[in-house]
Amino acid sequence: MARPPWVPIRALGRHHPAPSVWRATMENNAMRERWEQFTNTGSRWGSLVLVALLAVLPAVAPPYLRSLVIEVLILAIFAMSLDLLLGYTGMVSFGHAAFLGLGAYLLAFFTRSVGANLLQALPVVLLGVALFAVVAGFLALRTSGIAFLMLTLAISQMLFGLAIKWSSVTGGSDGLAVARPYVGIGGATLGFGPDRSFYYLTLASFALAWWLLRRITASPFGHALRGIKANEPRMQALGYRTHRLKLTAFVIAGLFAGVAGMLLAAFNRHASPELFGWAVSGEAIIMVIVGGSGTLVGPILGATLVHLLESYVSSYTELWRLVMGLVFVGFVLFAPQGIIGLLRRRGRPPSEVELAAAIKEPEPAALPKERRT
Amino acid sequence: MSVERQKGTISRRQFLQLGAVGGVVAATGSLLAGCAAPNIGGGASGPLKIGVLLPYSDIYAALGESITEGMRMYFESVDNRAGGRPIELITEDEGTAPDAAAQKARKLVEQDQVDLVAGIVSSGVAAALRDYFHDNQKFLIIANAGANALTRAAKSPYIFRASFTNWQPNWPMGSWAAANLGRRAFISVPDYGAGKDTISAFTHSFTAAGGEIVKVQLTPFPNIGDPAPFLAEIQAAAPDFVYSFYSGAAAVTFVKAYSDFGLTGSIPLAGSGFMVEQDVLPSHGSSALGIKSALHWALTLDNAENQAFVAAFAQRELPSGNKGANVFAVQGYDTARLIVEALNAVEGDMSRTDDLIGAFGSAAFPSPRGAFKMDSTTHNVINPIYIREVQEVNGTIANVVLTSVGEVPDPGDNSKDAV
Repeated sequence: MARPPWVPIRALGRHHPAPSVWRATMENNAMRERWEQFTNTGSRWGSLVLVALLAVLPAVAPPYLRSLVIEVLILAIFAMSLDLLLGYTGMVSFGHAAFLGLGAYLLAFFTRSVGANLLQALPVVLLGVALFAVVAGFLALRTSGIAFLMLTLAISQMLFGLAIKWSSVTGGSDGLAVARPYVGIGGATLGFGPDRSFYYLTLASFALAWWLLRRITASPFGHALRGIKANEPRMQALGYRTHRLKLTAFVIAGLFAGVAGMLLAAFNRHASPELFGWAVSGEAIIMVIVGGSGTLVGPILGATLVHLLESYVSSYTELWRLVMGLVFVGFVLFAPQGIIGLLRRRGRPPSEVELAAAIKEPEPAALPKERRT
Repeated sequence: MSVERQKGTISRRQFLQLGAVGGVVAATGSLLAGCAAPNIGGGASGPLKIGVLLPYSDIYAALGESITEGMRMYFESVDNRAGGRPIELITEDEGTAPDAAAQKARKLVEQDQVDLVAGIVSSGVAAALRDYFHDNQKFLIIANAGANALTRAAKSPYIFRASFTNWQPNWPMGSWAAANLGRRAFISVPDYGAGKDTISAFTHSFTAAGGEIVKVQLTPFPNIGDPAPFLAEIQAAAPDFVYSFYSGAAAVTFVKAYSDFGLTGSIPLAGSGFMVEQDVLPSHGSSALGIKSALHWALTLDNAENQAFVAAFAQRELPSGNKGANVFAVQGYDTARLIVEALNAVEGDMSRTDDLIGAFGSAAFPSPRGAFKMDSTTHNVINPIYIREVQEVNGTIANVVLTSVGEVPDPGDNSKDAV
């Protein structure tokens, strides 16, 4: 490779780049880290600005756009929760819809039997989801890779079958009607009946979920999950109880997906068996991959792009599934790191490795033949 | 790797990225523009916007197409005008998932600001959307979905059904089968809502007429898979006849296998008419001969309205490679006529809600199915039910009406259902 003009010839020495290059590299690294933070879990200011913009949206947006954004925010929570497994821990779950459906159905049961007070419903539903996640995770995490994928798929299909067949409890293929929940303390109640107030419930849930997941992924626990993804045996050798960590991640991801399911059922006022379907799990994987796995901003962008594109294209052509398929294929081929990958490649300064490679890589012709192999 | 090649790669990537970003921006931009466009609707002037929510993708796509064409054909016959207002149709894909369909319903109501919505094939979608239309006091005219509950416990003043309930064809069939087919029936239905509605309606009148259900067989839905074990079970039970309800691909699988197993000659097959309707009958071929079924329409039905409809629909659709007349097209045609008749009654004024409810509820007009008459208490059409048999007529295989059991209104509750 040719020497870049700003690199002095002396700097081509192998182990000791010149001080100027060294400094440039350090500055590059700091900028790069800031950009990566921005495109990874979202910078503090960036996320605050986004949430603030979303908060004023209902004042200017027509109702249909508002309801589209509600769905996007719910799906973003769902996709972020999946990415905790898929992107951070390296566990490809093909049954994440199980938790979405479970959250929806448990809320349906609770609102029908006890009442629609969210302060009562939330802990009960989340406890139910967590218990199921512990049992399901305990079984599924005895395996990894393809076997884990198949087991999670089987677990979600099992719930799908149960929702369809046990019609005296689940309403069968017709599903169950769900009341819009409210928050009530004593005599004071805050209702979410109109879509405008439900929008703010969804936005608050989204912001809280994003913030919590940022804290979780930045914590030592989150770093341990990334360690497991990189090299699980090494993590075990270092003394981490990886099975327990993975189970915890599975339960946390299940809880966030359960919240998304509750919101979705409350928004549609209905829980249907299709929520458990493998198509829902598959779509969440597409959102994560299109957005960029191993990040939180990626699933948010992925959910936005996939859902808006789907709603938009399907109004114009019956072949919308073909369009969605082509978009997915396009991303996998040309942007395997998703939207996040595109942003990073475009916006960031060269990394240390790239800079060093530009400096150090010797001309192939200069090498003796035997060293080139 | 040379510098030149690296540069080349980057610029192509950049090109693709720019293309992708540009596409997304364009899409989002026009979406926003579409959302923000001022909407004029409601009241008595301007075009009457009808949202059509029907499946155009997935397994029910053929039904959606037939219903849409039936609707269009009627609207064209009245110059696309109802109550003095020009009709504007806005179609959206219902798909099969209730949540996606709910989003489409919101798009029609909130963005397009349609005056009313017509369509819906899947009962699951209809059940999921019921509250949305009820709470928003928006009129919904169901053109297919047959779940009994929509006429009973989940009835709404704003929802009318111009198609059928699952109860309607099956209940009259019970007493007819007990008298004409035998006393020992074997029931084979897919394991989902419509299958269960079929069982309870048929069982109620069949056992009341002295019949006995030998066994109820529930098969996987929507794909029946390998039907051989189910047919072996039927053979072993040796009933007087088999009563079943299959539609679409499952009907083709079941009916063909029934014939291949050699059961056609020994154990008669009867059921709900959708099993042998025009959409699947050509695939059945001669294997469907002799199957007896009940439905609110038949291709060979002998009335002037039907003959004109069948001829006009064939002339309209067959040249472009579409299907000929079928029961779904009839339902679309009647749905369109119901809307036009009701809108004419209120002179196109959608704001006269109570008058409109009255007009929909009391609608009655001649139809290819014999007579269309809305039931003002259940908001469900009172169907004439025909018992038909698949026969070969002039070299083509078709349903021939054996007898008519007259007008069958849905009871509006579960009193005529076996639990």
